[in-house]
Amino acid sequence: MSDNERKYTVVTNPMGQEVVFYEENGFVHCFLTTDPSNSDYQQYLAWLNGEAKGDLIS
Amino acid sequence: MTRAQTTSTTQQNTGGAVVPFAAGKNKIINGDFFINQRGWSSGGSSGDYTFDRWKFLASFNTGSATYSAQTFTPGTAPVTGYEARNFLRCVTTGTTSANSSSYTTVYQLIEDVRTFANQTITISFWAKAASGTPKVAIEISQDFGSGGSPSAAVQTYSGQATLSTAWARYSITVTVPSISGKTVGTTANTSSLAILFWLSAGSSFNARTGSIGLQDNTFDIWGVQAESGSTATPFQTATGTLQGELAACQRYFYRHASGDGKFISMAAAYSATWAQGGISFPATMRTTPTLSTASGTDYYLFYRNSGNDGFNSAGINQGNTTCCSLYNNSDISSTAGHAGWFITNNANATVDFSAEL
Repeated sequence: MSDNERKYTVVTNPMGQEVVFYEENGFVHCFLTTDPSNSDYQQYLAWLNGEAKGDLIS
Repeated sequence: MTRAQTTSTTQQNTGGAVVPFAAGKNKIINGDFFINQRGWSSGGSSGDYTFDRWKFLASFNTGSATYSAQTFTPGTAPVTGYEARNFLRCVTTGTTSANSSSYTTVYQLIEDVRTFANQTITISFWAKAASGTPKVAIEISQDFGSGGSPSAAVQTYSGQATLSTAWARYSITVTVPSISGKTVGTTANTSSLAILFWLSAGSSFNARTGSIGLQDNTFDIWGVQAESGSTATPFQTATGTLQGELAACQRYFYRHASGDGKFISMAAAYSATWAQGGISFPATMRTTPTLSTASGTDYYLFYRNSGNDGFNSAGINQGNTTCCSLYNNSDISSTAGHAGWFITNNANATVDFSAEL
């Protein structure tokens, strides 16, 4: 599944930080937006900007 | 005297994992495929991980590529004195009539584009095929990361090996391009050097593969090493020890729990509907990781007050590269202040942390 097909859900935790969820292949994945080095967060940012993050081949 | 020169001819030829040992010589982590935290056995989708640190990309308009974990029968590993456990297999079927943009690859991302920059390196590996003499092409790709305005990736075709039906060691020497004048992304720890194995590729990739073409075969690979210099020295893993290699892998991926009845963490009810526990990672991770939990009805339990609450998945609440808190606030029905613990409650339950590049 490409990142553009992911359905993201964003919630705010008690400390006011964003927590982002998406489901894929029977797994719930979850990451914070406090660390831009996270590759899922990078894909999420690309999705927000309407872009597809390329891979090694593309 | 170079390290290659201090190694006996026999050791050179056999790749014997004996002295001399140089920690960090091999920049490939888990080059012998021993570490398999995901318990991967076969299959997956393009972009999935296989053995730790090893990922594949494949795309066809017709045909298929099937990746699997294989186990050496004792005594059959290719290096005498290095009784390896696992090797990687990829079977390509019905792909020779696929279109020009079809491909089959397996690769590893080495953290930091500065790795080997402007150096001559040698990439070595053992491989065999089921039949004929198919080729494997090696490509290196320098990715300058993210944040700011990083330079575009630089892809360098490095060479190819012609396989036979017997295990043999192949080595390819290439100069990694300099990064002088390039801009590395400002987001920390996001640049990389990729070592790609091309097993089959349509003509669109001729420049990147030396025109290996679309190939149907069974490709077996083991013992991958990437090191400075123009000689393939005896194979060793990146760290030389099992625990070291596991820790190196856990910088990028950590499976905390898998299966039924596995302890996850101590936990407490923050409110009647919110339970949370803390987890420390065994190795500092590359970045604050993504938490992945297999999802299913009551796959996880919060034991407290002589009873338990089932929950289906979990989120990461706070975290950094060394620890995090894990929580659920959608399935819990508890009492604020109750203390207890989280465990898994299904054979398919998993709690994973990924900080992969």
